[in-house]
Amino acid sequence: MFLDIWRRGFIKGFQNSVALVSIAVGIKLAKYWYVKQQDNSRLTALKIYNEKRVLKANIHPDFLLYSLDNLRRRIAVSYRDSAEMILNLSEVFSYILYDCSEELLSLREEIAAVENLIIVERIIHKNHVVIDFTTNITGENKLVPPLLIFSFVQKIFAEGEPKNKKLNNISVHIYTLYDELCVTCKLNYFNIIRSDFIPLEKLNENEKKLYALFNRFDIIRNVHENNYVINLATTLYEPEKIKA
Amino acid sequence: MKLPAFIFSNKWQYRISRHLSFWAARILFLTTSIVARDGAASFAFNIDQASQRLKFTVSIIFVCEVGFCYILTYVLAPRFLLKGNYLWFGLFFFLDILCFDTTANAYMYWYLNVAAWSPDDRYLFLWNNSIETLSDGAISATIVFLCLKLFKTWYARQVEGQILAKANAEAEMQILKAQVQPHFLFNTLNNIYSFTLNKSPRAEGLVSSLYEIMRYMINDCNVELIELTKDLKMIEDYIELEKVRYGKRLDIKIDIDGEYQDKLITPLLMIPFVENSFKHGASKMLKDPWIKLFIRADEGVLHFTLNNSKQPEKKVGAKKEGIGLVNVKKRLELLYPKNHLLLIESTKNTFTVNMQIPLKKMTQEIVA
Repeated sequence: MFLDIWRRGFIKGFQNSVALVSIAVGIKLAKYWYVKQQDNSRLTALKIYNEKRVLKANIHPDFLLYSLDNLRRRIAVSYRDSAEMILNLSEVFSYILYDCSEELLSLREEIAAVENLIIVERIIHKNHVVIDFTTNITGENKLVPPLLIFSFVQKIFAEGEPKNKKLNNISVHIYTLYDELCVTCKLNYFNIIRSDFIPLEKLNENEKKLYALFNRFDIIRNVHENNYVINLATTLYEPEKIKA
Repeated sequence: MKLPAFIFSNKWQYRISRHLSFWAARILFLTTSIVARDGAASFAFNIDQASQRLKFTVSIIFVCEVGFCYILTYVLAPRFLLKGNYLWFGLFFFLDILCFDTTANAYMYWYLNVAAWSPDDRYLFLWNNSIETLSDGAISATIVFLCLKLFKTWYARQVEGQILAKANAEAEMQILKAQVQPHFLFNTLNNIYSFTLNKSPRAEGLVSSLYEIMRYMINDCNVELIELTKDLKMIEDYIELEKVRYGKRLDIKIDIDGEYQDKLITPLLMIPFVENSFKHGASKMLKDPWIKLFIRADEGVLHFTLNNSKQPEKKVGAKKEGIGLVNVKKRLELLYPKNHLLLIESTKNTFTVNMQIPLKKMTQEIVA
């Protein structure tokens, strides 16, 4: 009888202990899980923030190297051109490093940076490629994501002339149409064939993210005219609406 | 079937196997209890009686426990408990208990034909069973189930956290490389501009050095380890460019020695301190700025000591560290946890950095 009671008690006690220990472990694990969850949410937010910073930061190292390399070549040829190049590069760097921390910037500032870039590119491609730059802008105070147009134009110059393909001239036309900022870029080569490269065809992950901000982005190849025409458009934001 | 996949995989075949294993373990546990209890009750173990009880218990598990457990774990906990809606959770939890407790008792009532019992026995049965079904069965099984689920989720989050931390460290590194110190860039361009106006041949050398530094920072440093000689060359180039700006006004001593030829180092760990010595030291001083840099590599350890003069601070108190220094500290903690030394001392007129980090010996494998 005593043994029976003892064994029943033991089994019951064992079951209760399992339940009790499970509760304790459950509470502890729930606590760990919650802390980890909070930690991960913070890390995820930080990751998004960092990715955004990397995206922005990645634009200028390429440009920096490209322009310094060209400055190095130019300085051996002409001190005068190099001095002008440095002045304009400083303006561009200042725009990239100091002004572009905002989500949106005025169209005027972005166009000014592109104009400085064009001056630098004209020096780099002096006696070699004719660069035609025109604008037709209304509403200079409207806002655009910074460096969007700049990085596109810069990429055109950096990658528009591969080793086996000679450029004849480049024309860049920036204009506004209703609430859109449009860019038409024409790259004229001495000769292109169907199997030739397509400029801006290969985009890295960061560029893909950046170019996703364009409402329109198309590249047309005209083999008969030996040129490529690239059209793009992005939304212009009203400063009043953004403030509101 | 591998154990980690069995525990953590989200493929349906693994999930089904996991859940079946849990309920099989639950049945095994109850079988053991019943066999032990019945054996204790009669001393002479009756297999028919035990199998009857077992069948009954298993059917109770599937009528009551499984439903209770899954509703609580997959519906009530994620929708209410984990979102902080404790009131709703409490209410639905109570309804869940009520629903399955009633179902279980109704099932037992039918199975044991309790209707034929005396009123007192019926009352006793209902009272005892409603408590016991819950405390012994559904709740304890659900708690164990939840514990396993929580453990799995916690572990997955732990791994996810490590991946996120690594991704962040990499992003920080990319930003560090991309963040060309603006003051350095503009000062150097300014110097080059002056030389070009004067048509000085030095301009060409300065542009080349600047280009080499930037190329090293942006392109060459995309590796975990780099030759120490390259990192040191970049520091020397950097100092040369900065020296142009200060001329003879700056007293700078650089002493690099030791066995650094065949060593590898994590790139860009030293440069933020050097930049700092110019940015916050020499550039802020009107009179007699000085910088002393000692780098020694021996026995697989890099000893880095940097002293520089600085303008006495007007306000005494803790000064906020720059982003560059904070980044280096973070990177050191991630790269050499408990295996590095970093002492930063700031007095009224001087700033001192002492850093010791392990170096890796260059092997054919690493070089390849």
